[in-house]
Amino acid sequence: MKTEELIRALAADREPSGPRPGVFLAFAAAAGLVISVALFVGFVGLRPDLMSSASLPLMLKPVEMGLLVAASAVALVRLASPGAPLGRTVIVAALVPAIVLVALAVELTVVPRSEWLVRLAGVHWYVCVINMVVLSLPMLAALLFALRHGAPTRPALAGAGAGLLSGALSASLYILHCPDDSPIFVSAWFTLAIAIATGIGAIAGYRFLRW
Amino acid sequence: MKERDIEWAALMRAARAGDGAAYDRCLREIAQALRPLVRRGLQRAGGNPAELEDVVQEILIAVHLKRHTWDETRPIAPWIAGIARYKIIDVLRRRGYRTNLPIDDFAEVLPAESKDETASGRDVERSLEALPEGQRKVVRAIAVEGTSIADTARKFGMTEGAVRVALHRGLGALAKRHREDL
Repeated sequence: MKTEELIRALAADREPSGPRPGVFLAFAAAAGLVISVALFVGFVGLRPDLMSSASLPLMLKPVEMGLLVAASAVALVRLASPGAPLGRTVIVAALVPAIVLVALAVELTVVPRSEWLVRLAGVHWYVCVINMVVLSLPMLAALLFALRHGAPTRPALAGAGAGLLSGALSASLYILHCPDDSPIFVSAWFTLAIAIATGIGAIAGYRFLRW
Repeated sequence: MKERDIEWAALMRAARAGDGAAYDRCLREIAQALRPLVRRGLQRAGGNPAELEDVVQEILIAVHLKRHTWDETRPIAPWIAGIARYKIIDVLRRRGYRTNLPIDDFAEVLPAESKDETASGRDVERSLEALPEGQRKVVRAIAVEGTSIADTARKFGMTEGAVRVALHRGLGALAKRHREDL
């Protein structure tokens, strides 16, 4: 076909090409979150002392996860469109591990060495990790679906962004249950769970986000 | 460079508001600017220069089908360059060429050496043969014969809505076919 002819056909096609990527991603995240919250309420549940305890380490978790959600959400919207630089989202996202590491350093100096492993193990570390990964999956699937309607020029990275956001949202939700507040616990297992979600997202993105 | 961005952005905005002539011009100018970019990309990877027009067409279809991903508050040239780079690398990868090559932005490419506008890619029948009959006749009438939507509808005894849908689906199928066998 001559390029001129193709252009004629393209110009004649007035069917809308789709919703803005940010809008679609927001709806997808909300839909996935509804499923994750339902799973959380049905199978996990709130921690009993949620309202009564207000220690500093407990307060730190929502701050860290909130920052991560915000940074990865903005980054993901940009990854969905060609030519949109990630800009400062990377710096904001990098603040989170920095805060986690500072909190960990403080905890390690304050808490006696004999307590370290106890705090690392928590009540049930592996259940926490598994639950956080499982709770991230509905949101990850929804975000990947929405990304397919965008135009991610770096599919693996876009998938990783979707994994990071769903992992951070899942961890935010899980804070409402997780009885372990020690930065030792958080730095190990929250990090691991979010890293697994990010990795799943990267692999899925590489496989399914080509266009 | 900046002026071109402003011009393209204005045309694309007009196109979004329903101005078909502006969109036509927008795509023509983009195609013109893409040629040197794609030629350089193919050259560097040792690709076949004869594929130039096919790759340009694939990028144009992608620009069209993904036009909702351009944010009007951002410059449009980096958006188009991003799509072009993705598609060039994609084509090269499918061909088994090295793909760890820098692909230029528009800024790095000299203004288009104007090549004949009528350069054609794969021949019409080959591009269209994979489409279902209904889509094929609509795309052919509008693209090749230059028939309007209304006339096409009359010609085939379809509603205008059905012609629009057939055209839209046909272009989507064309993009898919490019992806699979280019």
